[in-house]
Amino acid sequence: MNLPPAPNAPKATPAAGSLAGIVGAASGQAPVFLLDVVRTNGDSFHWADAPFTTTPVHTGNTPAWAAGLLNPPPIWDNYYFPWLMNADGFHLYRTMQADSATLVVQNVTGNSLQRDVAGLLRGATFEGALFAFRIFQPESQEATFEYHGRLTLVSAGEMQCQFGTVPLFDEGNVDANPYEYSEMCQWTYAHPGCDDATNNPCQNTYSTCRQTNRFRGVLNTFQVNVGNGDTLAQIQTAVPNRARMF
Amino acid sequence: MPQTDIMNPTPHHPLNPDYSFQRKRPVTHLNQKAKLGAPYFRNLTDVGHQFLLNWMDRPVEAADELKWYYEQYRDGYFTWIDHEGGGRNYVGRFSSPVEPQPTAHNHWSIQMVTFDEVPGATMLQYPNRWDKDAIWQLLVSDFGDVMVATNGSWTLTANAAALSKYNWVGANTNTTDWAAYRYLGYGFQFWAYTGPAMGKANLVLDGTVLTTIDFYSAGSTQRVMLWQQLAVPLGVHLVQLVATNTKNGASSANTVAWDALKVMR
Amino acid sequence: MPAQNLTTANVGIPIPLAYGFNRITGNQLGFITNPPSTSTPPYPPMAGSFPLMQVGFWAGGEGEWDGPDSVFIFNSRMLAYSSNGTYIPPDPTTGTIPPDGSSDYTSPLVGTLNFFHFHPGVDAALNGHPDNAKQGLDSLWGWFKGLVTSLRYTRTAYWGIGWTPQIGSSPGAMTPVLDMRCMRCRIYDASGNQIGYQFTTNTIWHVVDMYLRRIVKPEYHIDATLGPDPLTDAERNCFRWDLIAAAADAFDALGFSGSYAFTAGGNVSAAVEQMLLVCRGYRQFPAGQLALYVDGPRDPVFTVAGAMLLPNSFQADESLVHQNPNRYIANWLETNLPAVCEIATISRSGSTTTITTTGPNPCAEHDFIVVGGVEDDRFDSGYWVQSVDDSGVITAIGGSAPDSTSSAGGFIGYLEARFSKRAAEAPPHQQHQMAMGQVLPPSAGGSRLKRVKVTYDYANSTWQQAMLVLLYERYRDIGADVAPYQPPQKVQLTLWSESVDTPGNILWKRAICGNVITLDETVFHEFAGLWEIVEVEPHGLQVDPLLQGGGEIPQPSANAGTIILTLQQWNAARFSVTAPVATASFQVVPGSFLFSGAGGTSWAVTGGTVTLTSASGPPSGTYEITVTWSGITGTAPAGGLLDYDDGGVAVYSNQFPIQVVIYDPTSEGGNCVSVYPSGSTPPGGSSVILTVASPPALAASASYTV
Repeated sequence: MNLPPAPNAPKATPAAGSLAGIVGAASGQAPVFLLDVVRTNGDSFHWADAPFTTTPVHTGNTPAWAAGLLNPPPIWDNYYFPWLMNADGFHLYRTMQADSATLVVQNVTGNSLQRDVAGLLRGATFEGALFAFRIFQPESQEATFEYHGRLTLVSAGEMQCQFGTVPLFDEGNVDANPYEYSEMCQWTYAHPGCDDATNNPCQNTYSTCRQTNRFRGVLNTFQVNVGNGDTLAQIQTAVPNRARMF
Repeated sequence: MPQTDIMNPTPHHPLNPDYSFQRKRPVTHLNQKAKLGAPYFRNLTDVGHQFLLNWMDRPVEAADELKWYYEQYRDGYFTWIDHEGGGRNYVGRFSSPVEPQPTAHNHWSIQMVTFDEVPGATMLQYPNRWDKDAIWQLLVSDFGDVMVATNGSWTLTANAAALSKYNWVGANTNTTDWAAYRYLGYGFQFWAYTGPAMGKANLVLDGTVLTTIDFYSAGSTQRVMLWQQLAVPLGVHLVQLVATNTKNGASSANTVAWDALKVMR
Repeated sequence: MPAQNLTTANVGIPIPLAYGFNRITGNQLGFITNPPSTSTPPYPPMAGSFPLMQVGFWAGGEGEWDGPDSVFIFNSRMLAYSSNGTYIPPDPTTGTIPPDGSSDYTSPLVGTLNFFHFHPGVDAALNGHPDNAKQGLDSLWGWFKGLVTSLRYTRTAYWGIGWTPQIGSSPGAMTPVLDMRCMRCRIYDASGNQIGYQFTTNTIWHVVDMYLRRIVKPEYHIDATLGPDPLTDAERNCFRWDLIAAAADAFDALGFSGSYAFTAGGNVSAAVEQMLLVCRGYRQFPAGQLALYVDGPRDPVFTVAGAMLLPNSFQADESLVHQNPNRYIANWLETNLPAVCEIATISRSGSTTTITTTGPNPCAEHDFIVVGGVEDDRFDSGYWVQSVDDSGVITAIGGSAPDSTSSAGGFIGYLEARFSKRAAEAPPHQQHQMAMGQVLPPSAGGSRLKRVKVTYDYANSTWQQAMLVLLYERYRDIGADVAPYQPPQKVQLTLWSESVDTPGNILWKRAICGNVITLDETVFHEFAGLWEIVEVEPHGLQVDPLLQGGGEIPQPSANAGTIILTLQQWNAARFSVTAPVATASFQVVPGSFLFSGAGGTSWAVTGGTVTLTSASGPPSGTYEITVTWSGITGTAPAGGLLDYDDGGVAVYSNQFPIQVVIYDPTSEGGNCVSVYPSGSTPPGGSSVILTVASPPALAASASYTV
């Protein structure tokens, strides 16, 4: 048999057999891209750029679609369908800036009438689905890169489905001061701050409040409004002068 | 089973292509050359062999049959045998259209048809010319990189008698220990040494246990082919040697080892 | 009966979110003026003789807040003092002061604070359950005689005040202003275990709180006793606690503090950016977990060599400095007390302290002044001015210096002047100004400096911190002002994504913004050195998603196998710049910095036994309490027994980094003896660890379980 000559001595560093040794080798197989997705309805999906089995980052419910599989995976959350075509556009900043990456999933498989992914898109939204993307080295069973966020559907075409990513915490779109001084209660009904257990939603007014001790609003009694800083119209108007009892 | 549909089952079958068909090996890897140093190589995909085929001056029946193979297996695969190349089976499909052209009455030409192997397809007969079509995947690459990843208690030991000149020697006392290697190809052979103080470990392919290898032998023997797995479809495969913390009753220790793989290409 | 301004709240404005120390006016929720009364309950609701009484409620913001340090009405400090000048704080549980306090207890020039009730903004009790002490129905609602619906203003920090104007005056409706210790925050250790819930000025815990209350855990209770709901395991896993705890420690080590209020209804990103601005902070999300950092000296974590660099991908530029501002201005509200004059001599005789100043002083009778920086620091205290003679000599009562002692030095300030607006500018960066303004060659002589300013708002801060952070920003942006001018440069380069350096560091794992890396000589000789990663653009090893023309041979994706790094020149010298010495106009009263509370991976006394032995007992006079601690356990970076020093009114432990105080404000061993962390006099700390209702008699000992 043809046997190549003895190789050179192993490098002293990085440590032989380690993740660094495998990643840093001059040759080898490309790592695998793994994508875990959990929709807001609890369904989980696991896609990769090669068929793969490993422990996921996110788990969830087996979607109803899987019931139609001829050979479903024995453990739904551990198996990655080879549907991930591309994952690119990651851009990380030291500042508060955030960019959107692009995750491309195939939209070809299915039966003669229906496409798998298209059916999933129509079944429930992927908007806001939690995802974890990893670049995974199968020999070492470790990821070299991991990125989390949420998905938004950018486009679903006949061949591919393109998701954009939203930063996981998305601070730029979260109010720092979501509550206001208002005569309407600021709690969502049954929020822990409200804690009403009667399952009888209110209308966020004091008169419909089920837990008045926890009413998170202010109540004004209007006696006069002249001189309170309100802008006056330039025409003769009647001054409201009322007292409201509750 | 589509692989049982052999387009050209015999060397004289009329659907054998004309001579000088091109055997191609599409590039499946990325070569990246930095400013300094040797280039970096990474295999990106699992594309197999590709053939550019021609059939000149065929009767209409042959043209029709070739066209049928294209239409029938546009989204499937069939078997094509390279009789000229030793009779090796290839499972794939025509990835470019079959477009017969009449050159004279009942004389048809079909040119520049591309046949591509389909990764992952089951084969009737797997490639088995270990002396000609297989390559060695030694423990240490030409650049000094140790190519087999490990987890747990493994020692890289120099061994002049080994194929790789080095062995991974595993203590085999903790069942979470493993050594792993990924390759592109079909089947493989697992090579190591045996001896009186050796144990047992599971050989796993893509997550499925193939066998439990017993490394025990009464006397020490180098370069032993301890397992051959022939029937493996084309693809990128993960081979693992997983510790079992067991040994042959006659052995005095649990030690297991990894020398080299021979991989069918 | 006048019913002026009965119950008018400003509506439609965001409820503020405030951290640290802030001076608050609040949003008036209700107000009523009542005529004089000598009646008994049910009207007025409190027994006693009350002249004209103004009663009102004001809301501060989203709870839970820690409590006020000062209450000003018409610019006069209204919290009470006893006749010997001893500070009487509000009761920490109810916020009230004795309702029948005589006018001696307050400034007679302004009016009488009859009631002050503070509610921190926890959840009120559910209907049908007894009110909790913190957020129950305030008794001051009785003054509204049922005309309006009484509310508990759950989850809102608010206060109720009953006040009588000076007899014979008609000052109009009171306008209370409070110096407030705002938000209580959860404190965690490096493993993610909650070790405290308290007032803090550590910005790192503020940022964690912001993420928790707005994003990770927006739905939670704040129980009056138990505090906020604990995090679930999944919520805890949203954070890199090891890095966050290290950042909190670094914050404390720098002596920084964070105080700010968000009122304008912006987004979390802007709020976090403001908070991190005051402490050289930044945040990242490794593997989906929030990590916080305080910029400081650190070692490189990866070495880039020529064998990693893709050809023709190295680019350097000076875009950082191009058109960058070069006049750096800081605006802040000073949390220290501005010094109004310098002390020449200070001496104590009996209960009176005499102070002479080096120059004219603005002090007047009935002022409350703060003294700090005296050579004998026993004179550092608050005093109530009894008189000021024609030559400016001040006679005051208060403090705890021993009789017949004297000293020199120090400064005088006013509590009212805290949070004064300050603006200061970093020294001009002339080299950059010359570079931006050059229209004639240097040989033409003269200077043409192009000055472009940028203003940083540091909210509530100190001169020291504002200038340190400002100079850090300037150094980071445009470098040192030295000739020849070498501004920080920016480099962009493309590396093989699977690079591993010689020691075995993997580029994928080290390419995190904020990390410092080394470019070695083989990359680009002239640019070898330390660089900070500011942007990372990774491209994995993958194929293009689309196959062309029906073929089945995928091609490598664009940029496959590359990581593009944008680097900024790293110079640890920017961390060693010292704040310029404050000019006279920025002089503050030393030691007047408000107690910042425990920060970092801080301290919490979690349990043990305190034994008090009274050396001299009641009924009056100052006496010393000796304390033996046994089994006190605290969560702390370093262990050690808690020890203490005797001393007068307040006894401090010097073995905890925060001072645990045994405080006896009445000096009578009465029921105000308590044990709690503090750092200032009067105590401004947070949780009471132990309240001793019955201290031991003379020479006796008693043990109390903490």
